[in-house]
Amino acid sequence: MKAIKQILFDFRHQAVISWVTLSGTMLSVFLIMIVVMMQQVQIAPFAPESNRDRLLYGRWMHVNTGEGLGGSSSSVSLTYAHQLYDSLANVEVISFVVDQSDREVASLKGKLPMIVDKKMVDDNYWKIFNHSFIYGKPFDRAQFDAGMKVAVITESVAKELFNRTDVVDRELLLNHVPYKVTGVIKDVSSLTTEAYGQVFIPWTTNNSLTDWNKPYFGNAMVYLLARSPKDIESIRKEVEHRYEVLNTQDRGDNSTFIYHGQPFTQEMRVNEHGSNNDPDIETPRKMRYFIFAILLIIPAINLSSMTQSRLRRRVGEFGVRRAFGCTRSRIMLDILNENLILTIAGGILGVLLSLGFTWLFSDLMFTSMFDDRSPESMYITPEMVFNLPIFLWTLLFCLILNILSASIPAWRAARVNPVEAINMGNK
Amino acid sequence: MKRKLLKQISKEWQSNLWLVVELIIVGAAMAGILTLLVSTLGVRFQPAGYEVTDAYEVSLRYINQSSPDYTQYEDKSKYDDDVYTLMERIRQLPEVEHLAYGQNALPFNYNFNGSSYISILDEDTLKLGSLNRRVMSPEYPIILNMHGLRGETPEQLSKMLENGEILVTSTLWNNDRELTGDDAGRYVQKSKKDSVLYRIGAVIPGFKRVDFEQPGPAIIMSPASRRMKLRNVSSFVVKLKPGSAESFEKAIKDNPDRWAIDNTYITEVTPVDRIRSIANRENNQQIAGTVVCSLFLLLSIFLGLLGTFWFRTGQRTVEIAIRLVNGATRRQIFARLMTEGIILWLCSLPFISAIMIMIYKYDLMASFVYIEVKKSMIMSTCITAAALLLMILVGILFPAVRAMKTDPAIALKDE
Repeated sequence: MKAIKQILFDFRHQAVISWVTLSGTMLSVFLIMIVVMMQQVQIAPFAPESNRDRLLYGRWMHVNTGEGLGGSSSSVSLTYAHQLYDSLANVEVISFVVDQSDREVASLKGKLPMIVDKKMVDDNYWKIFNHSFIYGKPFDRAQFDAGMKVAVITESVAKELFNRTDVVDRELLLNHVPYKVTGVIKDVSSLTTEAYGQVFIPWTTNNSLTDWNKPYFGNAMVYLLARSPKDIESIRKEVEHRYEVLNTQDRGDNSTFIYHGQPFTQEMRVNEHGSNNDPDIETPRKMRYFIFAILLIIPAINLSSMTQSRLRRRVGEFGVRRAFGCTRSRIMLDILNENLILTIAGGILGVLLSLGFTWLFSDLMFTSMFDDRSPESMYITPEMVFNLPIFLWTLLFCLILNILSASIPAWRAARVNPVEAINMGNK
Repeated sequence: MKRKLLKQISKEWQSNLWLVVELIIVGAAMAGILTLLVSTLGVRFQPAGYEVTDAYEVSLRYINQSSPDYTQYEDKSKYDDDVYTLMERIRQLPEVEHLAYGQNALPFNYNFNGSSYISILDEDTLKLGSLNRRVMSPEYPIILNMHGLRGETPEQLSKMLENGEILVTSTLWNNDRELTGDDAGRYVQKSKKDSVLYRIGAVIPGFKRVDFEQPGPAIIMSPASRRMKLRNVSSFVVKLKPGSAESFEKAIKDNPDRWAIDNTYITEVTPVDRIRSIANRENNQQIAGTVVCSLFLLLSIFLGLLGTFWFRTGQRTVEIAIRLVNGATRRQIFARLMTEGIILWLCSLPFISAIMIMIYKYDLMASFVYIEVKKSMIMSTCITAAALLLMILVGILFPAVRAMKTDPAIALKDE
């Protein structure tokens, strides 16, 4: 309470410096949180990709076909996807889907068609990604195995085609082929690259999962849901061992499989660079830490001199307190506490500003791999940017900023000789 | 007065040291960021090798066999006829000037259909290295407004493709040398053992995949040269008359039956400008981020100087009053504060320059800066220095004006 009174006093009597301090903190936290949010949207779990922290991705195959002849790399074939990823210990669910979605023509008889993003999946896909079903349910194992022409569509597709959303058991045409709707889900932002789609169908309906370049390459993508985040490393080691075993086998073509760290975690997936390279997560991390350092150190230098300036006026007060027996550490703690309140106030304003900025300018901050087809599907949901990790990050940065900006001035203020301090205060 | 100013600056060395350190950190960070920006923009404005205006991509699809609307064709060549007919119908629209199709033809994506070629002339074997193979029907150079190194017009390039000749870029990778206009007329082949020869009709400038990439190597062939069938076409491109985009889109949407023949139908038309802007989106975002970072850094300087000098002005009220009483003009008071800021700026410049020189010397930005590193760094350092000076002057302006308005009688009444 005393600290708050002191802060309000400073605002009345040293308005410019106090507002500059608050603005500097707010600006620093605002920019830091923008960087954090941009990363969190890619990495943090939120619906329908709520399992990102225990999700692994198997996608590529890189094969060297003999000394001096170079190698080839592309999406893995279904055959080898099974060999590498089936029956792994500590895997709760495994899903095989067609790598990357496709643009498709969706229509009803007699109505103008619309172009949709079609995703071809299996029944296990729905156990990994928690889409919100408004009506109906996903297709099941029996429908998938039978290659039945069934589809799950999003509510906006339902509204566009049928003018309503309760359309379970109705039929729509995908490239002139009739599909029965089994479920309607809430729209999905294309920032969730694996969960995004507008129409979901079993890939068995037209054998979309093909080994187009047998036996190694095809268009398969594998999702592995670990039992817990702690199992991720053991699963990856097991797959690496399978690569080693496969490389001991003679396939008659001098081929060697080159291991690039699959299956990938979410962070690796975001930072992968093609089918024949290891994902680079260190460089973006270092870049982020460097940005955080710049965004903390520069305001800290400013705020440190502001704090120094504000404390100079209170030298007399510290002298009197010291004369009455107050310890140096107590004075330091009081200063740090006051500064922390101001820092947190600036931090809260910074976070609010960053949330507002993200909401209004999300297309400036984020890109999606579906931008070229459906830029309107790229949007931010509150859950993406308004979550516990964001708040914890904010608090952490406020604490760091407080320590950086106030510790030295507080230490110096606490060490002033009481006699000198009282004399300086009288002046 | 200046000597005393320097003395005064040195007396407040701790506070001034922090300011200079901050200027150095901000200056170096900003110069680095601006180097990236200058380099990125430098690449952006390099010639692309083409210009596209008033163009649309028309997408095709083929009805799936399992559809009840599927028509069984006796011969797959019927698909070629379907595509040809649809293209001719589009071509007859009054809005359409030119129509072309191909494979990996339209830029604004990161596709690379790599294929290595060599060129043998007498005893001279020239390695052209891996080229991005693009298949373009003859009207493509007209739609893309391409020119040859020797001034060949789009129509002339179009004729060359029609005659089965190829176009090759002067820009090459893994090459012995760059091609020049005089290399037109040479023949290229995939290897010495390959009997298929292609005659270079013209050498063209480097061909960009996307705007933010440097011009790259490409070899352009006609569909006939690659024996490409129309049934492999998934889209084609049309160039419209200026100002006719709206009526073209309406013509496509209003009469869907006209744009479908049995199993083949047109699904959508997309302005090439939109494809281009989406391809550039991530880079534009990075540029915006760079600008925001730079503005933040400048704002930090502004706030820091504002706060520090506001406090100093308050502390020096008595001193300023005494100067005024002793004959200093208000302008001199103002100028003194500004000069103080400029001196701090001058103190930071050598260090900022030294950091940038070290970065250049040790190639620390080599993987981020693609063109004219030295020029980019010099330009960005100069812009940074100017921007910092501006911020210093603006940041000190308000405290300096405040100092100017000091009333000596009020300031000295308690002395």
